[in-house]
Amino acid sequence: MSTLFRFPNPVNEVAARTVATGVVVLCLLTLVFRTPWLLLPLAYGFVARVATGPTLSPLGQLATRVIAPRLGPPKLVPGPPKRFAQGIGAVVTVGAVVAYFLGAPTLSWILVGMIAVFATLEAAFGLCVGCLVFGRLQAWGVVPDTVCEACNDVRARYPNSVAHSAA
Amino acid sequence: MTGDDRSGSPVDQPAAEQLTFGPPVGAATVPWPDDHDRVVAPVGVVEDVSDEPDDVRGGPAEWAWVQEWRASGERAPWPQGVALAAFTLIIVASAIFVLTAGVADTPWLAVVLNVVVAAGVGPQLWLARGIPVIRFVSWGAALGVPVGWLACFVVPFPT
Repeated sequence: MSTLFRFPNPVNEVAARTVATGVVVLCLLTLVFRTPWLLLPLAYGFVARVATGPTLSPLGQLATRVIAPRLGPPKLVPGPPKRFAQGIGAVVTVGAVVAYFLGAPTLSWILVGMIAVFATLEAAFGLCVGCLVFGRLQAWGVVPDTVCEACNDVRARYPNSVAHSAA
Repeated sequence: MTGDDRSGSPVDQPAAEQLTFGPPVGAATVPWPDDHDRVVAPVGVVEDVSDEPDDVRGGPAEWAWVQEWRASGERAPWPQGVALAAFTLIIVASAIFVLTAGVADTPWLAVVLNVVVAAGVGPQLWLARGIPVIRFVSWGAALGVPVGWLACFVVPFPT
């Protein structure tokens, strides 16, 4: 059971961006056709990924097993920030489901629109806004450094820097 | 967001500034070109980095990664950066237009809301103007606000 509820670390960013692309498509379908039932797989996907990584997420399985391996070599990035970002997505999409079924569909569409924007940033530009928030929380000490030690090694990110060559 | 569980280096090593954005470094030992293994002060402690621009000078050590990035002399990914700025511009301009359209029946409220929004985001955009990756978002948003205002005068509001 403990192996089920774990998140991969490191994460293949190619797969992550593939998942984000699927999320964008799902969000756009939801918004264009105003189909409330699509909110359910959207929210389930985020909850499944934050809990188990790609294991229980159909989109995650498709991305990691089928699509990402065909898009080139894996590009490894730390996993904890990605899990945090998935957590934000889970909160927002579950909020959208709750808002819709409590009679506030406009709020629901706004929340889905927000997810669409941030998933587009991840899919198209590789800009993980949730990871930015995670980084700030770690810098402020809210998230302990032990959660993601690789996140704090700036030299790994800038290997060509003067500092790195001096190390 | 998700990924396969492969072994190897925890992070890859980019050759240029990436649009994938890593968290800033916290208190850590950062080797310095002219000062071997200088220990960077903990977050919140002001350092003497007087040769740096205003946004970094006197800043906490958590911005050491920005100094490292600048020292690395990496080329900017202009195509992706401009695309990111354009995307941000569209989103921000649309948000400004929708916000204004929503209160168009009360023009004074529309003006006040827009002033509040602009005053709120302005300082953030200014501070972000030189930070890797985020600078493209900053530039796009800074253009998106006036473009949104212009759209309010040019594009008729939906009824």
